[in-house]
Amino acid sequence: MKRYLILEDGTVFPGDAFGATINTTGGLALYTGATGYQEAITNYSYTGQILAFTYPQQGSTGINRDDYENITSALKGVVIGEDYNFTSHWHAQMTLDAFLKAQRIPGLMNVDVRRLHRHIAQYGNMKASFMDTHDEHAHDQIKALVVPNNQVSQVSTKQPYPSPNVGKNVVVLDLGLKNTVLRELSKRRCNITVLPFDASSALIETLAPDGVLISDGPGKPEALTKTIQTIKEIQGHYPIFAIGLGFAVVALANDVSVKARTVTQHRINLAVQEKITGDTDFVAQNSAFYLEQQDDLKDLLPTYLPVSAAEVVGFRHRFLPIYAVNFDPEAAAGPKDALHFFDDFIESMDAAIDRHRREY
Amino acid sequence: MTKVIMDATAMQRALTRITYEIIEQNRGLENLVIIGIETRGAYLAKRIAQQIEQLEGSKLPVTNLDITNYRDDRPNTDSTNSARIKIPITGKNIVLVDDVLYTGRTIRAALDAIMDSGRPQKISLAVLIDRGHRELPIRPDFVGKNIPTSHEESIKVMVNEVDQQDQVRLNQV
Repeated sequence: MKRYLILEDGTVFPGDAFGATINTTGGLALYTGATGYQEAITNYSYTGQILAFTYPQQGSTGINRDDYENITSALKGVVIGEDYNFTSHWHAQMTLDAFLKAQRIPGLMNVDVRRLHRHIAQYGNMKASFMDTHDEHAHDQIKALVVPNNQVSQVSTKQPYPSPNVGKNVVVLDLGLKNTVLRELSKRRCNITVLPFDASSALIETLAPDGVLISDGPGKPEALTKTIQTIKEIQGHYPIFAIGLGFAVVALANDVSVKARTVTQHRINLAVQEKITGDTDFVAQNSAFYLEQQDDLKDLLPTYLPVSAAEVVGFRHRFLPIYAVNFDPEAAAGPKDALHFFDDFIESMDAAIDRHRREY
Repeated sequence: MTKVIMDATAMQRALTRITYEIIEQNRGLENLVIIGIETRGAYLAKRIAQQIEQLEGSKLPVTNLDITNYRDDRPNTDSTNSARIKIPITGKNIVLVDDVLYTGRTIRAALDAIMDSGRPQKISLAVLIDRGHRELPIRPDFVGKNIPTSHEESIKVMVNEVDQQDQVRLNQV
């Protein structure tokens, strides 16, 4: 069935429907990785968005049981170039089409995704819709769409829950958590308690964690006033490791403002350099906000810089045990160069425990 | 039997973390002086100073300390007993760096040597490996890795500058 991807500026991309056959609207995000569609589709960083894959062929490995980043998808739609619509991969349990149908997410295939990519790169982020027709009514509808501002509260856990293990006690603030973050902490023997994004500092204090991880997630960091307040209250008391949206929230909690990108970045091939050693890691990134090198960073000390932009993608607090990165060290999908951040987090907790003991 | 307990990457990561912790624990670096205990500690001290320079763009005073004359297990051969710290340390905030912390006697000797050269405001201790078995009331402020050992074992820290490789080995007799 013929359907249309209609952009806010009136540009129309024809394609064929797959997945659920419903109309949809949302912000458009472009994912540039050749691999990792299952992880991306189940990544809550894209909550409420239509996700377009710019690599032309998707779906060849189906959907398997191991690559879910969440049990469900929070996407509004999926745009791809060519779909296999069958899979012979030994690992697959269903096709991409079957998964999208089950999740009630509409898809659009046979779209000129390279033209779409160039268009967005030139004109910036846009709202978009899937419609059966591309008449004036459809254009007006997408122009009038107001994108909600509460994506984090849509996907963050409503109730605290444990991910038990034996070892260090880690609190994870869920702003749109990926399974792999929990997996990497579990591998390192952390007893995890996942808290809602608006958890109070009093609740965290009750749990007396050895460290706090603030996850990546969707939407705007400025909207997370409760989270910012909690970080202000707990920072300095526990080692804090913040990822992606957490990076932006920690910056705001330290009175450093972040800028919105004209084109959000969703990729698995960002080269970042550690300032102190000169070492380069290739990392995955889902980022709608950034810190500029020339900005007044106050008490934040830049630690990681991208090789190709004047941004700061990693900082530490100058006086407090806080580390934040504006990329996804857990990969999934993407290169695993930056998994050492989880080891660093564990060692920082060790050092803090050590220091705490010495004070008695 | 020899076991590699830290490879080059692990050593670098540990040193990097120590550098960050030194910055974190010392508000302002103006007063900081880094002193490395010869031989391996001196190279580690240089690396930490280099890393801080890389990060902050400011050069820190860094120097070596030879504690031979201050050791308590051999007669003092130098009657002057002079420590050879070439930079002013009075009123400074010193980070003393060594490769392995064991009985604490080396650090005691280093503290005496430093005190003979001036009156620093504060001395803290950074070690790559803490292997336990202290015989003196001395504790590190910055530790790369805690390695519980027995007296029969020995720890060998190797640095590129003298050993042609970065590695930490645990030798079991």
